[in-house]
Amino acid sequence: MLDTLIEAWLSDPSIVENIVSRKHDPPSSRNGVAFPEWLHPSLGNALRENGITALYPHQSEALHAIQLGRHHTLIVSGIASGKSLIYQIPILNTLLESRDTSALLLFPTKALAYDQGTKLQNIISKLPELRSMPSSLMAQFDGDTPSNQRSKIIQNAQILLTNPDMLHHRILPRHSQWNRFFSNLKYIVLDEIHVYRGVFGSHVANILRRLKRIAAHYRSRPQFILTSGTISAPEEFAAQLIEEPLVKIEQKATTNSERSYWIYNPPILNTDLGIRRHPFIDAQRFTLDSIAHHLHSIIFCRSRKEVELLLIDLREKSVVSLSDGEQSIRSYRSGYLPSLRRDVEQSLRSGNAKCVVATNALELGIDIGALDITMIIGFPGSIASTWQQFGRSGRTGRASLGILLLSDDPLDQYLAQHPSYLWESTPEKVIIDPNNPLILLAHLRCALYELPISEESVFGTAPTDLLSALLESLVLQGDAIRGTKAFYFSDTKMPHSFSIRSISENSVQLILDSSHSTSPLGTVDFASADWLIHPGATYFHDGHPYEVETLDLNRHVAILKPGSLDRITQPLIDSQVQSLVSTESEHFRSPSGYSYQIAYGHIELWRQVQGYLVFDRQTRLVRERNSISLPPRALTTKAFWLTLSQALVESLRRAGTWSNDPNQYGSNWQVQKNLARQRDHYRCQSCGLPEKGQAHHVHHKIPFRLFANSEEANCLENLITLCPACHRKVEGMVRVQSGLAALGYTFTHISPLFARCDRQDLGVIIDPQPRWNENLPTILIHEQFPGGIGLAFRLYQIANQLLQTLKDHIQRCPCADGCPSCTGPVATNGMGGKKEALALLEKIAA
Amino acid sequence: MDEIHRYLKSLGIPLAQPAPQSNLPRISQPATLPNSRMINHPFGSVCVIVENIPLTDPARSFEIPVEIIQWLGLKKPNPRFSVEDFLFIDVETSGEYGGAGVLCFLVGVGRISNRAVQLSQYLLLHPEDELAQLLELEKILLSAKGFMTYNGKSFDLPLLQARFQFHHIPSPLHEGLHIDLLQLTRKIWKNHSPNRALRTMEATVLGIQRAVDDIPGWMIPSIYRDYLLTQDTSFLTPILYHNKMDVLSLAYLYLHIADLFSHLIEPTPENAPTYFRLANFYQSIGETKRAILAYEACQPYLLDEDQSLHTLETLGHLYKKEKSYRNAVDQWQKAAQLGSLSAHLELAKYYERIEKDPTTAETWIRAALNVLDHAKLNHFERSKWQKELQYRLERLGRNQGSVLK
Repeated sequence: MLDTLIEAWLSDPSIVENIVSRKHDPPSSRNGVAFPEWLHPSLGNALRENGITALYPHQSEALHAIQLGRHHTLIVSGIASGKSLIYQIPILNTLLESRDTSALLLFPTKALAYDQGTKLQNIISKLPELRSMPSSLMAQFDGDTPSNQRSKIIQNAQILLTNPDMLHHRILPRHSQWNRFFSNLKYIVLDEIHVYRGVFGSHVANILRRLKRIAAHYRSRPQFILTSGTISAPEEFAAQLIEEPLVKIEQKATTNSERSYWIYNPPILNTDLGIRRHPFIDAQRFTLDSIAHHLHSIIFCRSRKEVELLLIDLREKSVVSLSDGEQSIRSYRSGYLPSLRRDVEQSLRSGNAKCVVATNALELGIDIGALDITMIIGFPGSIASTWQQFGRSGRTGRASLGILLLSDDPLDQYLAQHPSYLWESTPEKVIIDPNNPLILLAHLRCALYELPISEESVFGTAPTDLLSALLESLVLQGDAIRGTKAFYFSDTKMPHSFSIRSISENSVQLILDSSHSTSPLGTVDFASADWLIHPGATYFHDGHPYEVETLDLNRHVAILKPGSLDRITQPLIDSQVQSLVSTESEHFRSPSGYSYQIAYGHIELWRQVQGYLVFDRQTRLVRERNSISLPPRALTTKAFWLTLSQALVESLRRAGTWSNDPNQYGSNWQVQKNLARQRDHYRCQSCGLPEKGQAHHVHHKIPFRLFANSEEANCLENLITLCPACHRKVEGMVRVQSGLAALGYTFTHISPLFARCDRQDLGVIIDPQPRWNENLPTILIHEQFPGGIGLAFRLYQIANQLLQTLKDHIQRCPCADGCPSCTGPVATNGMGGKKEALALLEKIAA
Repeated sequence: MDEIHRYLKSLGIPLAQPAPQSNLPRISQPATLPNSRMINHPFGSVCVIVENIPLTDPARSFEIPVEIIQWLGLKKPNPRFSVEDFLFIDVETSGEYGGAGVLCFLVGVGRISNRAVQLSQYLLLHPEDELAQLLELEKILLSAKGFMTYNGKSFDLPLLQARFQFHHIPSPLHEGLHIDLLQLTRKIWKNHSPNRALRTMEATVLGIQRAVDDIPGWMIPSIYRDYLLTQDTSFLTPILYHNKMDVLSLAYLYLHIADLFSHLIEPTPENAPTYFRLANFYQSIGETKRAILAYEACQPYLLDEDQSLHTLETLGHLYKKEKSYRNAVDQWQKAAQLGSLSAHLELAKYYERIEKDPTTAETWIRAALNVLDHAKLNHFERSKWQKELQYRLERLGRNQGSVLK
């Protein structure tokens, strides 16, 4: 069993020495508190019949705040802490006292709603008073609800379990049908609010603004009950979500089963280059061991592509040990057809699948049975996600093990150095921006459809000047007309058709064109289509490779053919800044006297996939580089950027005593150098200065280190004659550029931790001489969502702290001149730039 | 403010350059709409257009036919209703689907009285006047005992009801009876024309011709939007015409149906199929005697062989139910000549049970078996009939003993 396996692993030095940190949670016993006095006797009996005889202190405290204080209440707690009881009790108690009250329960997923529905039903069935009520008294209402049951639910439901999507698409726009429900609305439950982050969360906050307007229209003042996993400043986030003052009740993590957690850092293979063993290799070993011990495991990967690659590796490795490799090891991610997903879920519940490789699509809700081990490949981007993913194993009171396997990503290595960051729960803030103009505009249009918007009315905390500009825009677009006191909807179509989950509403259909027939394979969201399924891309699906033949972005269709397992591709994306406007900025002077500027504002940029690299899957070496041209996509969003002053650049240049060791430049260097001088007529090709008694320098346009052999590096096309002064300038620029590039790399990898977002949510642009920023060296971090959702502003606010963190992180890294874990891999882009990045940071960060 | 505008524009959000241009003055009196007047309320004003339209052919009876009341499922004692107690209602909406943002911006209400249709159209010149519109409507709706619509069961009435609910007004529609003429039409004119759209009924049954430039109903929401955005009332004229014609058609359609029920329309080869459906309708509400009359009236004119055969069979069945065997046998014999297996079977049963004449009964069974040999039936039906007829034959044999051997 698990104990035996853990013991075996812990006695194996090749494993133990890689465990950076361990945490062990014994099952904790909790002291019970008696049911509150106001509890309806029947409800007390029903709870006891369900095996609940007492409450935990935090439950009791929360119930007091909800029932007696009538406060909007937030419950923050870990897994298996009985937080659902905290809203079940007030809802049922109120229903027993006053038969027509209603409650709205919102869950981020259908599966969670289903789980909760079952639990509530168990209690309701034990309440004799409610037996005469219609069967749809409590109902789940979502996309899966059969249409012939919907009108019965609309008429009778008093406890409605649904999700924000359904509220947005079906309930709010038809609120008059629900007038009975809204007129009696007493409670609104928002479960697992930490999921409502980023774009999704910004949409949800606006849906709640609309919901509150509708409730007010029916003259009800519902009380909010929110639950959250562990996040930083949860009440601040919750208050941002519901825009009401609230009371927070916190429960420190408790478990009902024994849980162990490891942070596992695969060993370094090459100290100078900082190359670390790929975590896939360790994950494979752990998986095969656990299957041999008849244990079930789940492996979380950060991307859809990683899921597929690991699945292929695992199936290859396990062929020997498993008769039915394909069925024993499954994968799960977005983009699979629903039938395939249901099949995987079923095989997990039945125990037929021994291991599943998944993205965070399996993080929440869906019942996947009892698992023993969770492996997480690479920090998933947030503490909350990490604990959610760890929580997928050991759910039925069985012991469990969670292993976080670190990659050479800077963020992962940061955690290797600071394991307490994970254990001691000082997690990130959840960031949303309900006032993103594009999101707000879409919801204003919906709100207008639902109820006229009066001139003086408020829409949550949206700034009035923004609101009136947007309403004015709706009038201009013909979607609204002005009345004497209010704005009214004037379009003919319901404006609710957009999705609140993804950035782009549309997805691209993947069609498999095999020799005999065509069949649907899956989908890719429109926003990712350019870089995931550009023509020539290798796309993995359920462990099988496909190659994209055509991508038709107008018709939203991509045609794929069976591909080769040896080949993986990576797109080459070109970004161009069209304009940059700062709305806030601050000048700083560092202790060493150099000034730099940190700014925040909006940016307009064009991005285009211009080609792609083809790698060998086994060796990860580049095989070829192909050009393609997809139409550029424009993005206007928020950004924050660091601008270095001219004086700072000069000082870096001066400090840059670039020592070229001629001996390292290969045997033909002297010959080629003289040929270049001769070709350039012994004149500096930058300022035109002729040689006077001393030979000019010869410079490699593309740095020497980027070439595999000296002959290619020293070819005449790559050489240019420069006078010593110009050479210093140019080399200085190279140094600045490589310093900036190195810093940019670290920035993009560490920032998500502070902005509490996914890596894909941020982009970086570095330019030593940008014409869009007065030719001053700039590092710019921009958001990927149009209009931004507050990530850039968050980074702007903590910029100096961030710079300090980056400096510490790079300093601590043991590598020689940059590695994947700090300033970027030397092997891939040829220049580590670690020294330059540090020199730069030392000038500005204290 | 300029900064916000610049930023919103770069996000692709359309904004007017200097000041919003679309601040049009509100219309207070629609001069271009004839017969219109404004009714003012503290919370808005509604435009009401009133017209008295003489009936081309005055109503011959004001009483709502009992068949319709029966069909509505009202139990005896049957209350009597005059058509004057009913309102003809047709609603035009501002959007495609039912939702809180869809207004019933025009509600046409007609009442038949004194050889004319009194039409009142309640028009919203601005969405902010909706409460005034509904309060005026409430008055007239509460004055009626019932409503007639065309597809109002799933369209006009729920939409109107939702508007009352939206303004927290108890729906005045709950009080009255509702006759959805589409449902009656479906019963009476089934298979009559390609569809049961009101326009089709006008053209094929009522002989009403609309102006050539009458707009199709699906265009109405976007035309109303054009009016809202421009405040140009000339956009409304074709909508008002369309709505008026809808209400008028409703009234004429009702009168036509009422006349059918009163047999004021003579059966002819052209309307024989209608009588046939009418007979079906009587049968479905349990009015056997009327059903027989209607079937008898249309039978000679039915050109469709299937309908004709069905009529004879059904008449046989209905006469049998009335214990009028002679008439039943007449019908069955006619049907049998046309090759009806069920008529053969009914005749055999009749001779066996009523006439106690097994020999004739057997003759009919054997004739039926002969018909079956040549009938165009699928395997399933054939074997069903085969079984049934064989069973009858054997039963006769058993009862007759050696006679049949």
